[in-house]
Amino acid sequence: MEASLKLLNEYVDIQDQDAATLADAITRVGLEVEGMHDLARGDKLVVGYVKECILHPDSDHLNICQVEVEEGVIIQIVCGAPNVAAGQKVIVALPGCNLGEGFKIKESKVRGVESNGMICSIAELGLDARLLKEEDKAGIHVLDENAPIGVEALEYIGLKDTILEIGLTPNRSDCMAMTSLAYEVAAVLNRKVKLPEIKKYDELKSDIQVHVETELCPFFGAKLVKGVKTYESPKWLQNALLASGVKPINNIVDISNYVMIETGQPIHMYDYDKLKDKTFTIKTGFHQKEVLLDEKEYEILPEDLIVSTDNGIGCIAGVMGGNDTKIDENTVNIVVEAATFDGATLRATARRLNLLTDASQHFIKSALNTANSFHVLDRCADLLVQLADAKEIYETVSTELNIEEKVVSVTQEKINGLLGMNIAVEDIADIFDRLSFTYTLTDTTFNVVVPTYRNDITMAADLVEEVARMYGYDNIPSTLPYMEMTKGILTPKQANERFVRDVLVDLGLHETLTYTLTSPTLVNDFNLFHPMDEEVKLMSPLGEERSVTRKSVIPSLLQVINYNQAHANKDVCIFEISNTYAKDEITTLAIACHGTYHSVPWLGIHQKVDFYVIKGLVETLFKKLCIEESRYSLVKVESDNKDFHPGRSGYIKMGKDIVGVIGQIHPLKAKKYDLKGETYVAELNLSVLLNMRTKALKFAPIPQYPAVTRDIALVMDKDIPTHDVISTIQKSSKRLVTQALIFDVYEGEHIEAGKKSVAIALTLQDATKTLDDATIQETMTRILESVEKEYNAHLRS
Amino acid sequence: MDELLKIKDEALSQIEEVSTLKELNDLRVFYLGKKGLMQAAMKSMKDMSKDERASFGQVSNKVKQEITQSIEEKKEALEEAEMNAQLLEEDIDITLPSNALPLGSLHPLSVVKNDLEELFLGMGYQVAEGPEVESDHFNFELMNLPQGHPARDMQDTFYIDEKTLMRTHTSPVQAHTLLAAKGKGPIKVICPGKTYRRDDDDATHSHQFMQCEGLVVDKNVTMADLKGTLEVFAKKMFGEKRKIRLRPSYFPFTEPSVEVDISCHNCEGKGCPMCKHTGWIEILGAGMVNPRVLEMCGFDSTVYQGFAFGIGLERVAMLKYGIDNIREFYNDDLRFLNQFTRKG
Repeated sequence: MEASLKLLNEYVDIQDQDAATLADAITRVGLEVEGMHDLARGDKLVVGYVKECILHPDSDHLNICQVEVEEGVIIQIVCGAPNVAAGQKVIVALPGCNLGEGFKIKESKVRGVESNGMICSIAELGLDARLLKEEDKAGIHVLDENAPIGVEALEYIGLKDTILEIGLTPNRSDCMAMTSLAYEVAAVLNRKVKLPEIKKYDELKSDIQVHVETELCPFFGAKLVKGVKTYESPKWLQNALLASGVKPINNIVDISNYVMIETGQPIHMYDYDKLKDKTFTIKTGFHQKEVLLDEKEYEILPEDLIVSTDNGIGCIAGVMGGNDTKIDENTVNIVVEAATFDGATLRATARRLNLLTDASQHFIKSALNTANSFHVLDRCADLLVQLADAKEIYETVSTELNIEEKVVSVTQEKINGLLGMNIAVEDIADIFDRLSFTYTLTDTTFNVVVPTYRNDITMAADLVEEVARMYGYDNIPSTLPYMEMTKGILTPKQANERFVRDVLVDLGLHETLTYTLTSPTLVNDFNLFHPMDEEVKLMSPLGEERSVTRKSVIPSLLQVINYNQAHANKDVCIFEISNTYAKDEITTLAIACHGTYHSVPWLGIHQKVDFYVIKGLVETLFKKLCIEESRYSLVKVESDNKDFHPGRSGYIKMGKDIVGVIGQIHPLKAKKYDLKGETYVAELNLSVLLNMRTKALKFAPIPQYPAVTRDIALVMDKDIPTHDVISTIQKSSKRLVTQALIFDVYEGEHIEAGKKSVAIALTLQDATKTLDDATIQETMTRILESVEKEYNAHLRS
Repeated sequence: MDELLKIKDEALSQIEEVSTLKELNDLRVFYLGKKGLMQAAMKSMKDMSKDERASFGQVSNKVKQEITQSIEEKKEALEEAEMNAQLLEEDIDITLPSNALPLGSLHPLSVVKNDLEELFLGMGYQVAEGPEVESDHFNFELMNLPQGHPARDMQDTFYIDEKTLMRTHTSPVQAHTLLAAKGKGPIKVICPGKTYRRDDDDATHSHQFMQCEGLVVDKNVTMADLKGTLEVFAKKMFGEKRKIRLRPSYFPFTEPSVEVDISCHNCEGKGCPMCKHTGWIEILGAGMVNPRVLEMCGFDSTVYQGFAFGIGLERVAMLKYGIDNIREFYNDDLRFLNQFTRKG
């Protein structure tokens, strides 16, 4: 909100205060002053008198003016404003005057004629153009003829003011009202608030009726005022509005805005004479299109709260008035409304109709001081008499005002116990006094009567905050909790997750972080762990491409590779651990590699990323996590798989469950994600893998007896998985084979078509004795028999 | 006798001359071998008298010894020279590039998360987690943000249906933790994780971001404890000289609530663009747990009290590493990631 210091001074004396110091002081108690600016700018502006005004010889619109800027001092100014004339009192910017945004007045020549200043319009003083009238933008500002020559012009026209830009927290929305703000400032400065005096009039009996048919309107008050006249507001009122960021319109509208700025109570006015039946009914249930006072059509829904007049829409409560009942220049008799409406209902309506206004915020943020409603209406009536010539004031007609006195208790012990301080009872009492809280004090217990404008205070903790912020947080000491010991350890899953990250980083991969929200066109790509038809879809996404939660992290990593390719980063080896969502939350690890994994060109090392690189990363990870090879198997993906290259990809299975996948992405997917070259990926279900039971690490004695090695080359069908053959060898050796190292796989000349030769170095070792030749021979024979039986594999001749 | 001495002189001078091990061996055979000069010279002994023989024998032994020793010495010298030559041959350019394995990196937000976890684990905190697809009940209601609460405006939300949403903060993990504890303290947790808000992405906004919630609940936990704890945090993350400052603020789930500033680590509080010339940087929000939150989550607020804080991990990383655009974290440009291969 924007708060005018000049206006604030009406409610609490701050004339002697330096603006910056004041801003700092109220920031420290919780009203954050985010910025500060002068209402109008210009440091050398004076009242001048145009003694003479003649047309510039070389121009059809410029005038050469002789302007008296202090008694006996006349300067020449060339002025282009259409409305300048001799005999006017005007605002003159003297040489050296800084009008902001780098615009500085200096002595110069305009088309050969000396010009030593500028005659200003209001717009040129830097006021928000949206708040100004057309004439203030079109021409120079003409002052009244009594304006004393030479005095400071801004001061004279009442625009010398400083505006505080305050970022109010939602709980202190009451400070949108100048009176509430004044209570805060008064507390800080230890001064008293000055509330405006409201003149009482003899009130006539009103024929207005009020019916509230909903709980969404706790209070509705209406006051009839007759005989008003519409004209321009006095300058002080216009200036007060300008300084508060509100455009002055005419005295009637300005009064309603002014009262809202002062009290925080939005005011609506109805033209009494446009009402056939003088009854206001507050209810919901309308469903119709309606033209409102801005002459635009809106759709009203049954849940909208309506002030109904003559069975129609008198006003959408707190949002905007109807067109049929609105006041205009010819209005003579006015019904002034001050009501309290349900914020949540109003917020929904205002949002839907795109009519969130400053006024509606007072309702939405529960900032109303309902108890003050009668005063508000009396204040309106008083101002209408003073500034709009109102002749007859009628009694306020309203629903019952049910305001219970709110008492909140807090003890000194509670305050100090929560803050960890030692504040004396007298100091607490002083703080409540400064805040104008009334209270009773018994021993160390304060029973505080909460002021009706402080809707935010409902419990002891709120009063503790009042004490803390006024006493000053800087005075709170720094300690560490004194309490029972607690253990600080990660859960196994958390520790494992971190371990996985570290392992992959050590293996040379970069961790990425990508968005959970993705596009429906990508959501089922590479999806392995979630059902295809389950989807977590946002109701109102920012765009289609971020409208569902991802089920696989691979698409995100492919997008990262694409991004990096576009930015000339060729080799990309990345991973990410993230949660994926359909109905279930599954933590997955995705790896994606593209280009070169490891290269030292001058040494001839060019390890391009291929299937076996990714497989190695996953295997290393499994080893590190002590998930033994025997617990999983690698099985080729379906031959018609459209995510993965069918010949170069496999599922990692544990029993029947797929817990991961390793492979090259399908060329169709490479095209879809606009990736050149081969990209290899892996994805693992960490929710399963990191929660597995694993064997504790136990030392096995180092073998005492020598090992022997035997090399064999087996010829077998090309499509037999080598790993299966190795398993058979190990099994048939009765576990004497402790290592089987494949050192060559060969197809081609000397080998039958459709066959391959696999050369294996076998290490045989018995932990209990030295192997004798007979045993070795016997074992080798058994191995060869088994592989022949199971795979039709023969020793290569 | 003279002959022996002549042989010795000749041998020693020849040994001196040789430059290869083979030549040296040839000399050894020539002088000391079975058919060598020394052996031949010995043959003349049989014609000598006993005395002569004795003295001849003595001299010849001495000569043999001297020649042998000289050969040994020469052999060592030649072997060393040969090795030195070999070493010279094996010389390489040690400035050529190494065969270092590729260097990976943790994402900077993981680094910050780890740092925070380590700090708080050390102080006896547990790390708690909660779902990112969260219920309105946990995200808002239990955090004292009932339907229509004005502060819901501050947290524009991605709703999935009327009751489900992408969590807008890590605060709902507070509720999960409190409810799991069934009304019994002490509780000491931090909850790092992803959060989502309906913001358009730009240099300072991201629809997805990371927070770390902290929650301590016990019988005598105070605001002073909050201040002390956050001071430890500030010093660990931004250096020992950091101070913190609390300013009153508002969060529905804490009362009193504060914004926490740290003294600027960039200019040591003198004023710079990073701290907008104030010497202070806004870093997180915190406060004493609102009694309503405690009650709703099954804790007796007349017995228990506590503090909570919420740290934006991006904010910490941006300040710590001088990153000025939040999008960097999610673009995953390798030229960005590569800068985090070193320790922080």
